[in-house]
Amino acid sequence: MTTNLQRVNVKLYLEDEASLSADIAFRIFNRWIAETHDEVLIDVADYSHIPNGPQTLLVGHESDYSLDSTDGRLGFKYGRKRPSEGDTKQRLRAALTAALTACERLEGAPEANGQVCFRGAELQLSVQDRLGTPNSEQSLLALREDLLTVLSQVYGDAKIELRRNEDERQCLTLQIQVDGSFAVASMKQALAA
Amino acid sequence: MSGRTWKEELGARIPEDLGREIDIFETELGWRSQNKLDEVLFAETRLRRGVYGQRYDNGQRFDGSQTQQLAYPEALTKGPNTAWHAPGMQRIKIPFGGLTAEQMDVLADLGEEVSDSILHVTTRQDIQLHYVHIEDTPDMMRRLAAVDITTREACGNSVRNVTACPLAGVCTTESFDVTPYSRALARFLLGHEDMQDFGRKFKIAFSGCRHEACGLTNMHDLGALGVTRVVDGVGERGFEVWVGGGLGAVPHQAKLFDEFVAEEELLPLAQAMGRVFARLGEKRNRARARVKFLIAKLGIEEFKRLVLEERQQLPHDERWTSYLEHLDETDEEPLKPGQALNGADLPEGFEQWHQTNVYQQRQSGHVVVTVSLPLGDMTSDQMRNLAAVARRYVKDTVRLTVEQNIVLRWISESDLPALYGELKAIGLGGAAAGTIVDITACPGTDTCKLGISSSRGLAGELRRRLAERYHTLDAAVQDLRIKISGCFNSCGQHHAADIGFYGISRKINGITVPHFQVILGGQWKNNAGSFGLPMAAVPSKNIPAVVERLTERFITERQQAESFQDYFGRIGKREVKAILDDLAQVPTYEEDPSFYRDWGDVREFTIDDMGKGECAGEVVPLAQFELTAAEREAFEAQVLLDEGDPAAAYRIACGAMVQAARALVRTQFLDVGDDADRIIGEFRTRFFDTELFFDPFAKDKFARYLFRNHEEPLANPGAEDVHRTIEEAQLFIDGSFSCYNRISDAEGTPAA
Repeated sequence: MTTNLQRVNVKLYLEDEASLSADIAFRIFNRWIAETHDEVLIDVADYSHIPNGPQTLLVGHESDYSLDSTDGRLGFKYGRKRPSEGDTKQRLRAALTAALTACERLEGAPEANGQVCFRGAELQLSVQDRLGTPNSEQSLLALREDLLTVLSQVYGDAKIELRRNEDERQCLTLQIQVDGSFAVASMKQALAA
Repeated sequence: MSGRTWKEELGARIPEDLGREIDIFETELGWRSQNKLDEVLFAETRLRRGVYGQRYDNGQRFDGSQTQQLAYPEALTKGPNTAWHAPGMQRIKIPFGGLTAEQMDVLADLGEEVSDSILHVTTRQDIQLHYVHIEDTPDMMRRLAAVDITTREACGNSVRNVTACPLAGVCTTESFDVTPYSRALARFLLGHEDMQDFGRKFKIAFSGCRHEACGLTNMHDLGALGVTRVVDGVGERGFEVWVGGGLGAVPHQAKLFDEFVAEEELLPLAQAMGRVFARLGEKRNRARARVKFLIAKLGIEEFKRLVLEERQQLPHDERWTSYLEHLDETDEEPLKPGQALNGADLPEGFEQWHQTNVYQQRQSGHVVVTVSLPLGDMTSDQMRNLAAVARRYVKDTVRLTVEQNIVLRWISESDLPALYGELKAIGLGGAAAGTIVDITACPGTDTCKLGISSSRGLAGELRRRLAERYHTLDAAVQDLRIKISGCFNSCGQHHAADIGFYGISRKINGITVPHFQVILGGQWKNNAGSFGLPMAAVPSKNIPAVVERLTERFITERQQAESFQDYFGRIGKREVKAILDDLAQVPTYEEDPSFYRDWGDVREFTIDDMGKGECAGEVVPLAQFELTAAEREAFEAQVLLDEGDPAAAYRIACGAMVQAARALVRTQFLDVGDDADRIIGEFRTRFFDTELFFDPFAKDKFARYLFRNHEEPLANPGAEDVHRTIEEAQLFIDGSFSCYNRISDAEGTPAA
């Protein structure tokens, strides 16, 4: 089957939700705009007045980054917007790498005083393209092999559980649970290997 | 994973005419992407489809210390000075604010897939999506078209969204349901060939009640107020038609066109009005191109004569009346029979919510529930979940409001506790709708290219503070409305609020400080029955204190049931000014740097400038003194107007403009003297002809206020004329401050 995976989003959850406030994320993201030269970052939007959404959003040209609580749990979300290139595995790897890189940056952000830590053993992967990748078992089937290949690269032999959100109104959203404990730095390293 | 396109997927679900329109747009978009279509032409093309530019789309952003270039991958543009790849705003018209659950689902999906998962409800019952890439717009339009939504003429010099009271059809005080009329007029005028050659936009609103605010017919180009009459024992429906109203920089109260326009005449009359506006309206000077200026120029009687003459010449169109046979098409039905609350236990918070968010329909047992949206925002998930809630409780009877909320109509009263629980579960159970907490704000500096100060940042802060102490506030304060615009253009409708604010900036020792003008005297009720005037320029950080102080004084000193407007009218503007005087002061950067950042922003505007300011010490330039004096004069004009001396107020307001012009001229020519003709001549040569005065967005607009008032003084100005002149004077003075600041920045001298 020909695949054209676009608009891949990856979310990682905070170990301690109190460790990163919308206000601190706002400061960090503003700094990133000034310091980032390998992609176009445009502005930061404050949506902290809305519960369960992108609390603080760093808007980029190709991708967005947000402190996100859309599913009721606070975490960091990376979302690719512009067309991705390469095969499915490459696109998944690129999204995961971008998310992990940003998480690593957040963990080291001086504004957060070293308090931020992400739980690497759980990921949310969503595809915000209802036409190209509808929320269905077929889509999951088409994606599964490539996804597991990429995840195995990150998690090695650990047991990986994929759970699809079956609410048809939602875009394809997969909750990925892995046995064990994983730090974002080592996950990123494994992915790059 | 499919390789299909949305065009193939949706097929016949896209109405043929809309589909063709979108195909043409996509073709033009392709041409522009290959540089085969002029950027100006393409800009007008996209604007007419609601595809706007957005802040920073010129590829530059100030990061707090310097302006950074945003290095988009190509140099291509989608309009003058507008980068192709820069994210933009998509405005989506929702006629009379009416939404179905299916439409809500599509809007939710689009918010997620092409925007930032946030849907913003505007003050004109539109939905706006931000951070949209231009290349995503054709498919977005197709998906909307498939559920009967068009973005056509959501912007540009066209008939904008036709708004209507969100309670129409269920209201207890309306004359009749204006919904089918607003829908018919919106459909009739959409893409109509007579409506394509305007110099500016044309806004239409419907209301069924004279004394409520819901329709805001007094501040629209065409306001239609539903009225009935009895002729020979037979009841007739018609409309009291108001024309030439509008906010903008200088608000205009609408003029009565006709006390009764029969229902069958409404559409042809609007068409005739459009033809007269297209033929005689200003085309070159955008600042004077709205129909209100044409009416002011011609006089209402001549305008009316021309429109009625045009009406007689119109070729018959069966659409004028064919819809009248199907007025019941927009009639609504409840999903469930109306039943009173049955005495069951009520969830926590229910009573407070019920008090502010529930409206008893005239249909017994049914109520309208207002879903309160902070700053008009909701997430895609919330919209999707609200659609599901709507399906469970009502039959597609959902409407957006001009107060940036959503209403669910035809809720059975007995369902309220369960509904409240469901709304709370999706984060939409907030109380205090239509109160001082429910603040209206335009996008301002968050996303708007014209924004000066952060209207949303301020609104968020005020909302947070007021919500915390809402239940301790006096009922008379709870009922007040606050509305905020990020600049003078009034998208936040600040003129029609009890307390309004619009964004300006001032420089203190060379450092830019975000400010807001405080507007008092406006009235939301009576369809925006009166417009407020500026009281004082106050730094943004002191605005919460302004609200606190004004409301406390009001509650402490009001006499019996005296209204907010009446109280401040009684104590007079001098006293109001005195109340605010200390709050208008700005501490030095060293004393309190927070004043030099706006609400909701961490960037300090002025780190570079601060260095210059420190070098300059505490030197206050002459221009600052003189411009501040001009501002004082403009305020004196308000006082004189209140004291019943419009002639003197007019003279002083015009004088204040000359004084501000003189302040600018004296930066180049100290000995210009006091003769007004000479001052204005020098101003014209030095600041107008050179375009030094021109604001990047308002251009020459404010300077023309000076010239017109000097060259064509009014012999016997009425109160409304003077009100307008005072507004113009304040805008000219604000423009003079900005001009001086720009010159100072360029020269590296301390600014005003």
